[in-house]
Amino acid sequence: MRLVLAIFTATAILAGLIAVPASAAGGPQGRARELSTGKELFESSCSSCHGLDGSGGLGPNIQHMPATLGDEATAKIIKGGVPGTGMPAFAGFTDAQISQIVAHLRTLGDAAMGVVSTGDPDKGKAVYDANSCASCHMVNGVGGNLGPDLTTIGSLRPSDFIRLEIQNPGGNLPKSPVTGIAVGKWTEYLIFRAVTKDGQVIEGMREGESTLEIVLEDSKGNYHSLHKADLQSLEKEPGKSFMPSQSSLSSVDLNNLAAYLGSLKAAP
Amino acid sequence: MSALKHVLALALVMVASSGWASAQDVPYQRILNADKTPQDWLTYGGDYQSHRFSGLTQINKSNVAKLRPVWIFQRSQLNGEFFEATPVVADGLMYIVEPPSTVTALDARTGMKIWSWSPKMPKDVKYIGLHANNRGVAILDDMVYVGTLDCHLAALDAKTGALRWIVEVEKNSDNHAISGNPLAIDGKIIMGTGGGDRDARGLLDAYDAKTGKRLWRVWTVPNKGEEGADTWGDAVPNGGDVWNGGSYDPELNLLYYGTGNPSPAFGGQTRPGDNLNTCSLLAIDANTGQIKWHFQFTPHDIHDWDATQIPVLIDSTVGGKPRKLVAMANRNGFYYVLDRVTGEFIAGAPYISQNWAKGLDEKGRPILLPSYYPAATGTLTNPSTSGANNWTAPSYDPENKLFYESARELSAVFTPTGSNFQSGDDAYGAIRALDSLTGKQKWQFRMLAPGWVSTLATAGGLVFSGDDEGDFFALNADTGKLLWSFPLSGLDPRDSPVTYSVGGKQYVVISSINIYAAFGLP
Repeated sequence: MRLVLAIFTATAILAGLIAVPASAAGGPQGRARELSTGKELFESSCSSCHGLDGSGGLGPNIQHMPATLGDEATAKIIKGGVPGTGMPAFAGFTDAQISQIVAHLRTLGDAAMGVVSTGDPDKGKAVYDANSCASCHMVNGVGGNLGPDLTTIGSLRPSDFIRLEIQNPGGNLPKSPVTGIAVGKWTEYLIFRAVTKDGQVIEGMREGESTLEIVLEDSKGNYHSLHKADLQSLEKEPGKSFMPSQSSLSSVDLNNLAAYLGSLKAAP
Repeated sequence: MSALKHVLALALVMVASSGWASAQDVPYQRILNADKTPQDWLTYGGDYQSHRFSGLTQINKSNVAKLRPVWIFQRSQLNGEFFEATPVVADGLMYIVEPPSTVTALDARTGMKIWSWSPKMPKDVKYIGLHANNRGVAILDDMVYVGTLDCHLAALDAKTGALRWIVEVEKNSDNHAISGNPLAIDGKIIMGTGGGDRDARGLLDAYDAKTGKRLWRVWTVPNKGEEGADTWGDAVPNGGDVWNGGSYDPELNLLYYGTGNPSPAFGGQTRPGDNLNTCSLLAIDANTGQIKWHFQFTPHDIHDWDATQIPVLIDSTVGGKPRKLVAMANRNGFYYVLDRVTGEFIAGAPYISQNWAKGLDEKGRPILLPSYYPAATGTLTNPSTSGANNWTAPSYDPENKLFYESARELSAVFTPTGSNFQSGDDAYGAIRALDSLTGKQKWQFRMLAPGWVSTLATAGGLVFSGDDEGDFFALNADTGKLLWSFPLSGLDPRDSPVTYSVGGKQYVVISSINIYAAFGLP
């Protein structure tokens, strides 16, 4: 699964680089050089906290920072740091180096956004309602909470990716955005099969886990707080999801639904 | 003013009941014989050997299941950084450091704050490659010593927190910063700096404990033209910073400190060669600062594997002969045993499932696999940049001769310019008991995630540590069986538990994010 994600990201990054306008920074070769320097600077100085693809680690996801804050504000943060956080001031960088990093960040943002779906968001909203998606998903505080909150899903995932997910739920489970320096991102919505010592089988999504405990939420929304010591087995079921596959939807409905979800974005 | 009077009045009352009258008197002889006063915790590592082993037995295998919280100290100022300091405890007073560099004295019986001292910290303080926190103080005679984030060394009155002297160790504007602990030996305070990830040149200093006058400085990497410079190609040697704690052998009068990675951390094409003395253990003459010997764990490091883990001094018998040894569970995934008189390699073995070296040769040098050099498209390597261990400390039980380590089984995809951690679901951590002479694993206690908590061993037959979800626990030192746990919660706590006793009652204290919590028997 990680490999699939990696390939997707790599392909998307390539697509993002190719899509860079040739007019910027002295033609395609000059631009490519700038980006290559920006990439190196980013990977050597920023990625240990923000991840190689800028999607976050010890520090937050900054893939969309230039798009949402603007290049100048992003450059200011790199130069001055963020007081009171782990983000130091990179005062040693020249302005040219910082703008190269910002340019590289923009390619990461483009890659993460992907291609805009061709569906109709308004018609997609009707598909969303007709298929009772809100029984498990929340948008702007309305809906259930068994599945991911979709309020800003359009900012997090490209429409094409969303369309794939609707057809194959569980195929690419998201990783938690909050991580420490210690551990890479944890898989969210991962389903476990627990068997207690007296033979009871509980299948549920991981809501919380520690060395000694695990809390699972079953498909009916019931929580099970389990001591690992009381279990005879506990197995991950990667690829599995409580979300029913919507592959029976027509391709038009699927496109529209993906377009609707792709339009749900964080407030600017 | 009235609040101050209140505190002073309180202190006077407490002196009568808990013996604080001697809190301002911790002479060198007392630290030298730290094992004779297990009620205190006088240095970062518990003693000069960095054993983190306590002779206290009130809390033991038979009763640890009854351990319960006694007090919790909470920070009043939150700034996004965590407690990481090993408390130093003397005569019922506990000294901690609140991030970034505030020294606070607590009543070790109640967790009540007695005094605090904060340096004036510049707004643009630089600490690249480090966090803005601190691993703890040193105590000697009537003073406590702390290294500050902006790279000063301060001496405070141990009883009142009043500043006695403060000196600049090195320029913070040159990327030197301090998060590590000072070490107090006879009349001297030993202090290194961090910042090697951003070209700060590694150093270790000794200061006169009374005046703050610098007595010597040793640079860990050579100048151009000096011995070892030929291990850097045409590069200017940089990095090798001494950013964590060290150990001391009073008989040999040698200090043992590990050095950080070369700079720049990744790639390494610009610095062909072994890059001495980065990723090394140095034995340093405490009188002169002269390097007596060095042992390099990871020649030409390109994975950010600093060798700044705590060196543990062990006296044991090898091949029928008594030997003075030093052991380190290195960030690169290997456990090493060296002769601490000569630096000779004696034994070594991986303590995690590393995949970058075939093993160690007869001199302890790693036999590299081709995967040591990351491909442009990325190479999955164990350990990750954060290492098989990072800065947290192991413990050593001189009775059963086991070495207790929090081991991190976490890989990362390395490229020539950076790295990305493996998914959390593919990683785990474990407290591992190693045979101290061979590194062979005797038992392990498996944890959900790679931890950032030091271990503490006690004569009560216990090993205390914690996991990455904030569980604080006690294990049977002989078997690794879980005997007690308490969920302190919190994401990624970075702690170092210690134990002490006041008024005949034993306490075990640990930090977690923004609290220190003390536990005792009912």
